[in-house]
Amino acid sequence: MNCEQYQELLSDLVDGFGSGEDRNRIESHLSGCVACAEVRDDFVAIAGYCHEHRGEYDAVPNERALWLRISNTIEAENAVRAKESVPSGASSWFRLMNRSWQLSFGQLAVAVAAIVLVVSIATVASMKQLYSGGSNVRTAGPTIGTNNISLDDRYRQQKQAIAYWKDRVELNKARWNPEMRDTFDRNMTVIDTALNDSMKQLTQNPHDPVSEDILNDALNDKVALLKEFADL
Amino acid sequence: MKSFEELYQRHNRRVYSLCLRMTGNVTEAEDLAQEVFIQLFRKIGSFRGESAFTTWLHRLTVNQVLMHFRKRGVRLEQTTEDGEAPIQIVKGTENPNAMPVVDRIALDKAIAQLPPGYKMVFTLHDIEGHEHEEIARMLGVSVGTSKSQLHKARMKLRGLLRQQIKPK
Repeated sequence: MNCEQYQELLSDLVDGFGSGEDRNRIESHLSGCVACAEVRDDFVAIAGYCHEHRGEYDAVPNERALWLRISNTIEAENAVRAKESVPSGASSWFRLMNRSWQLSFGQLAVAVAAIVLVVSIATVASMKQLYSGGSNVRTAGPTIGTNNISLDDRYRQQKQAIAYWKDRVELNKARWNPEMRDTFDRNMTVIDTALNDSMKQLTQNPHDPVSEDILNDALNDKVALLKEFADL
Repeated sequence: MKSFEELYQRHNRRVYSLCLRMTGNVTEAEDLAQEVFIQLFRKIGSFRGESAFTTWLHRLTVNQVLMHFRKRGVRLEQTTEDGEAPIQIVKGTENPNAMPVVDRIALDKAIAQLPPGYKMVFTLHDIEGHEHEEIARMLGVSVGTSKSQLHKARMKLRGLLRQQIKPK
């Protein structure tokens, strides 16, 4: 074997491969050949350096800029995909609901404040309406007394109101679209669960004030929900 | 997107470094790293956790670089850069000095000058620590070719590193 052939075996030797016989043969050649021994030493130095510094990574010249390029591309692709997934005849409500929303903290805070304001105004208005005896009720229907009536009376009135509004809802329900029906059913399920839970609690503890309150609230919620959907 | 940004923060250096070592070009490496993360976003749903995430990402990166080379028409199995003869050390003609201490800058510079095929195998074997069997599978070559490319890469690097310290 000449030096070139020996050198071809050096990489295997440096990496710890090759049979014992090969290794002995190469080692004996290296002990008498300065050139091949230097190649071996250089290989050891190169491979050793790489091994020692494995796991050290170069920093991206501008990490932030690269991230912006990546996120912009992804967002653009997502927008195209979302656009493609909207059927041509889709309503503006569908388009609105299928948009991806990204709000800044400021926008989010303003939105939350607006919701709180609207809910507060609605609550105050409905309280006023409630305490004024329901004289300005938009749609006629049974009202529930709030002052100085017994629990049983109030419960009976609530049941009557529910029965009344339920009939109204049933009349109109066939006209609703699937989304509206889903919304109604979902809300009704939540209220009914609260109702059933409080009824169960009251069966075990007949005069538990917390359960009575929950039951009262749930019944009022049910009336309100039915009322809201009765004219839709 | 927030969690994907975290993934990017955690792995961008690893991905970029691999691209840089395999291409030897900062701009190409950045473009490839960008493409890798876009592919990662598209394919992350197909990651089944059968291997470590870093291994999966590593393979995705290597595939992306390979595709890039294929598009550019780079042959990975070419023997030498411009058809030059393989480097041979003839007894008595080499630099008698011992190998200078290898440093990062010199090595990176030398690696950048390697032909693509050598660069790829050297990066995967010596820098990333893959076995020849894995490299052969990734590059679609035989184990023998992988070993031979590595040997030639080391020989070429040796010459380039020695040239760098040669007094002018």
